[in-house]
Amino acid sequence: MNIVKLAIKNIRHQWLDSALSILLLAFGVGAISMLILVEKQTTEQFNKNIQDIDMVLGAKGSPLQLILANVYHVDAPTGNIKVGEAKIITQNPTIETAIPLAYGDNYQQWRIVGTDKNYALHYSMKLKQGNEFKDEYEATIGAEVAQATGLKLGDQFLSTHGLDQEQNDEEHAHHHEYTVVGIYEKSGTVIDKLILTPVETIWHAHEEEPSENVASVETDSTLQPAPIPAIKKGPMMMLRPAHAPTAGPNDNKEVTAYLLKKRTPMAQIILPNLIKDSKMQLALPAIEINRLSQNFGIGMDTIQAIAILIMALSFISIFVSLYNSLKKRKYELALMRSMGASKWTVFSLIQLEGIITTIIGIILGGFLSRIGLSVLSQQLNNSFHYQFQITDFSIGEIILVGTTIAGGILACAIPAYQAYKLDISKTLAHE
Amino acid sequence: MLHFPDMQLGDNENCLILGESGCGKTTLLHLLAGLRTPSQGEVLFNNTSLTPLSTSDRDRFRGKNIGVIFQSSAFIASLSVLENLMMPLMLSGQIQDENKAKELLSIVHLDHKIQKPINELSIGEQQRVSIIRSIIHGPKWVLADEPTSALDNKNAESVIELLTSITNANNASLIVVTHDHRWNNAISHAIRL
Repeated sequence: MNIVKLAIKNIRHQWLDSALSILLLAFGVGAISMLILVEKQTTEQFNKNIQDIDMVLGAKGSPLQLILANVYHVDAPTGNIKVGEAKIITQNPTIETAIPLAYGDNYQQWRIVGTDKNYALHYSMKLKQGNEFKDEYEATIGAEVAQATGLKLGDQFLSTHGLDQEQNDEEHAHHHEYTVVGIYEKSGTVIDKLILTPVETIWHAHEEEPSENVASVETDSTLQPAPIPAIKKGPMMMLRPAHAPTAGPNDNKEVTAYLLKKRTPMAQIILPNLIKDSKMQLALPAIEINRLSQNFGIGMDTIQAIAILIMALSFISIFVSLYNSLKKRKYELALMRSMGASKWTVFSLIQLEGIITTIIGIILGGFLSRIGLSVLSQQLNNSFHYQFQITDFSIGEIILVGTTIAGGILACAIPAYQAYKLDISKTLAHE
Repeated sequence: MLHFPDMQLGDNENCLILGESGCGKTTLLHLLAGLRTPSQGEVLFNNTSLTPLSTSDRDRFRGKNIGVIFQSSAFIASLSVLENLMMPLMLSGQIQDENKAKELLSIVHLDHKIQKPINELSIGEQQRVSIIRSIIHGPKWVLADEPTSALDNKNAESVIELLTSITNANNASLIVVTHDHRWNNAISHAIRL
């Protein structure tokens, strides 16, 4: 027998009193730790996928939608742009790389993206099996796609038109057969959820059936690269393209967006001017995501406030239950004193009971947050193929645990002090 | 204000403190046990005066040298018989010898209930356990507050017999504070308040 064991036995003996405190604490801690993890993981995911993408060039519309659709692949694209028109940006000297992205098809709801080798290179993807796609209708697939669809090296599959339709939708079936030539290792980036193929595949697939929302070949041959707007003399002159973009055979083809990496910070200032009269826009991922998380933040703050309130209630509950039990157990504590327990021993006993109750609440809260996270993850996975890591742990949670224990110590400080001050003679004489 | 006469007790000597209700018997017992301090005078144990000791030193002295039996036998409700018997040993920092508890319990025929929750024992059984608890840590003095006043003659007799024999066997002085005259035959040295 020691004092910790005694405290645990006492808590078990009056478990109904402790149960409410523990439950309240578990919910409060659970909600906050879930918020911490959601915030940490979304930020990580966002940052991992932004990696050096300075700008996204796409069709006019909501810039946030453009970012979400093309960097994170969670929203519908804003529309398509012409390769030729985009050259004013993609071939601009201030741009280091421009990665084309063309959408339009899916396989079992996993998006097929027409692109070039730079896309996988950008995210430093490693191949687990096979090779990078080279020819049309060759596909290199992400780890999560491979796992979910069961596609293996050398397998052939039929794409479906659109981004979300089911495979058996006859009306939208293309009957173009893709061959899996490679499977990437899991990277934690958005490519895990994508099927990559040369951009030409998408152009080719849609040649016969042009439609409103997919990258397609326009028959309008009069289209020329956008003219370079005249720039007045000044420092901006230096950044003007040295020569008009060269015309190419694919100028009339369409892509959904270009992911751009700039060569100089000036690009951000000068490039938007070059396309202000066109149907294109440049969106900055960092700014849009910042705006998104600010809006997100308001909701998070509300939940956090409620969770803190629940925790405060649980501390009051710990206080009340210890305070009440002290009235009943005064005689017991006086008895311990008569057997040689010091004032500090009975003080620590009450304090320990509060701390142990708090710790049980924290542990339970940790479990609750993981359960909540896995439910949320399941839902997100169903709609966006996004997942949360439930085995994750954050520094914020250590701070949460520390603060909660401090709150528990504070909540039982008064009952513990009363135990310390107990008049043993009066209590034992039932005065 | 209560006044008590000077009194003295030799080693291994038992003593009866008799008095009617309300004359301060329990107060005197609490003074002797160091559970409270007198406004005047002092309590000496083998030349150790309790009065000038700090609260924690008094707690320590009491834990080591004194066993107390209260009027109503009280226990820590969340613990078993054995665990309650371990408390005086734990609180006075001694080795928690379970065999000693078993040995002493067998004297009062309760060794088979050693693992039972204390609240499952009858009042009579609880009182026997509280007697064991007052002696288990090897105190030099056992103080008992009205240990028999609620008992019928037969039970009172066996408690008197148990208390005197068990303290005697463990070399402790027994000091009984009571108004119960059934003690008169067991302890000859009596002080009347």
